[in-house]
Amino acid sequence: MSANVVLASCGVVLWATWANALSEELAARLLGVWAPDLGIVLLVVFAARVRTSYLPWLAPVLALARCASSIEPLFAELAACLGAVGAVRALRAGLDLTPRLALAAATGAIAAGWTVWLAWIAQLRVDEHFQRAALDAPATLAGWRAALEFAPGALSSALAALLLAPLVRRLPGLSVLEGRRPWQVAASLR
Amino acid sequence: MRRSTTRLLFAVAFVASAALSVRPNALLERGAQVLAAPTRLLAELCAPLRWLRLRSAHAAQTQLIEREELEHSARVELRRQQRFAAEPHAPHLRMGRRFVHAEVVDRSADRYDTLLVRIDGLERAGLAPGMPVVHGENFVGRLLEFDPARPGHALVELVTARGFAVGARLAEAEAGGAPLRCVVGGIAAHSLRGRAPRLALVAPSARELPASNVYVDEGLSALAPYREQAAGFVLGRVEAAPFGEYVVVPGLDLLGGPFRVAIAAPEAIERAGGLEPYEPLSDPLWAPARVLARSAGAREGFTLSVGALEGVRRGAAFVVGSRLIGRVLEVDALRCSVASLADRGWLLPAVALPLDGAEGDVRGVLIGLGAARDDARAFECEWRAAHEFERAAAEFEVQFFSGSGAPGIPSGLWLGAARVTNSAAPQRVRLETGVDLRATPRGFVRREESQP
Repeated sequence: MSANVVLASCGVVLWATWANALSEELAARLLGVWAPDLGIVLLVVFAARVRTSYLPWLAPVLALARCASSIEPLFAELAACLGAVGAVRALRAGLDLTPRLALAAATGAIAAGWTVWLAWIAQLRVDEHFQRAALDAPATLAGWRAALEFAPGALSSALAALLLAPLVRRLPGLSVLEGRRPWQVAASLR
Repeated sequence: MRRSTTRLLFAVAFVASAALSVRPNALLERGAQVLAAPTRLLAELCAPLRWLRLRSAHAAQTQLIEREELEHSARVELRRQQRFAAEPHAPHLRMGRRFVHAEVVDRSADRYDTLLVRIDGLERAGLAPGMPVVHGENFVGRLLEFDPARPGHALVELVTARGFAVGARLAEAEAGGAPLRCVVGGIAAHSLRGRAPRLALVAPSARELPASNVYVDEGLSALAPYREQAAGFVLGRVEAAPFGEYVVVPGLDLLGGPFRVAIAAPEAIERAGGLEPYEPLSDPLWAPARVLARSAGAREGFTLSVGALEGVRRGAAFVVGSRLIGRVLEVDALRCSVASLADRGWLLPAVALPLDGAEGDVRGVLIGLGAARDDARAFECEWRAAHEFERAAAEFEVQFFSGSGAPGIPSGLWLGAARVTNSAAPQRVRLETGVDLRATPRGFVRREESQP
């Protein structure tokens, strides 16, 4: 890995950390459940453009950034990042993710899956905790309920991807990691 | 590296991390936390965003300071009421005895029928293993041993322990006037079918027993060194079991409480008077912490600037003044993550005290159900009370405090005020905190007790 790529990776971590922290601020101060997850927006927009050889590194780099501000279990965040990057990788092999609408749809779906995954992990831990205390756990975090409850977040993330994708693509320091070939050429090689 | 190898490694990493999320491994989690420790630096980089909320942080801090005195007075009142309730007040139970107060700080992890208690003044002088432990007029168990690792702490064996036995006498006598005697101790097998636990009753002096109160009476046992101090305390009420046997319905909820007990010692023990109860809020086991980042939305909490290097451990309390803000979820060397009270799924022993100043608290368990949708200063909880309030009103305002027995969380920390119904059935309550806790900029985290 060249020095340029390492430096650009530091840039990714920095932008992702700020994106995550900004999402939390928006959720706490203004938008509540309608706050977009800007960290996921950045991940999807960026994973759709980055060169294929860098994709496996993107997930741990972004997981590191999420750990800085998240209170979710570390491995759960890492699994979510790996899953999201894997999903984008699979999508871009068959679809052109350059149009903003496609990108927004992918972001919305990944944000919904991400939230349900973390809610499910949280519920597992709560169940285990209550089992140890010999009490019945409150069933408030079940996957389908979480999916409904966090749908606004997924929708707003999709909307944010639709609006902010061009801006994310132009974030300073990230161009080093981008693929140079258009999708039509790259897809035929995959 | 070949593309197929990269894909395989990626897939292995995904499956492994997903598996470790579902089935956590303590050793690997610790390793990952060590690796993730430098992300503390990243959290510090969120400083420009923290500047955006300076105004709300300042407002929250001001409100917390303004309410500090009120919450501290409520805490003092709770402790006074708990001390009053721990001691018996009937003259025949006070005669010839001296009561030494102790606070329950933990249940032994490997022996559920053993309580770890902190004796007032952290002073064991005059006390000895075998002394009866009571709560009000109810018999709780016996002093088992002093904790060699922690001065002023002792283990109490509950009357529910397997192998525990205490001589007892029924309130009603036989037709001829002879007292009805039996031995009580341990949990009766009949109570293991989803019912509230019953105490085992063995060796009754008559075949038929009336439904009567049972009192401790070890008068027949020359080997019981503190029989005079234990005599007369209530064990419970006799109940006929399905197979012609008898069990005792305990007079006290021994599974969820009590939070404070009194050791009944002989009146002549050599022990200084006026020893104050230990006040954990005044000790040096608190690490000042800054909020580095906050988590809002799916999970409510904070990332704080203190970690394992400063003695912070999982489960420790994050407080401002006498108020509990949250509880440490994960710790790495340089920082920790805290789930706030507005998070979901936390479980805390709690005490409810009527807001109108009436006597009588109720113990129970509070379970976090998440932030209230319409107000940042409130959150939803499920309240599972151990019993009803001793008052006629069907609905009234109470304030909630942390109870005893949760490691790392001192008892009597203010949680919020809520309107509850007078029922022991689980109920959903809305806890009003009066302050937007998410804006809290700093506070203190409880260090592990072995760390000075």
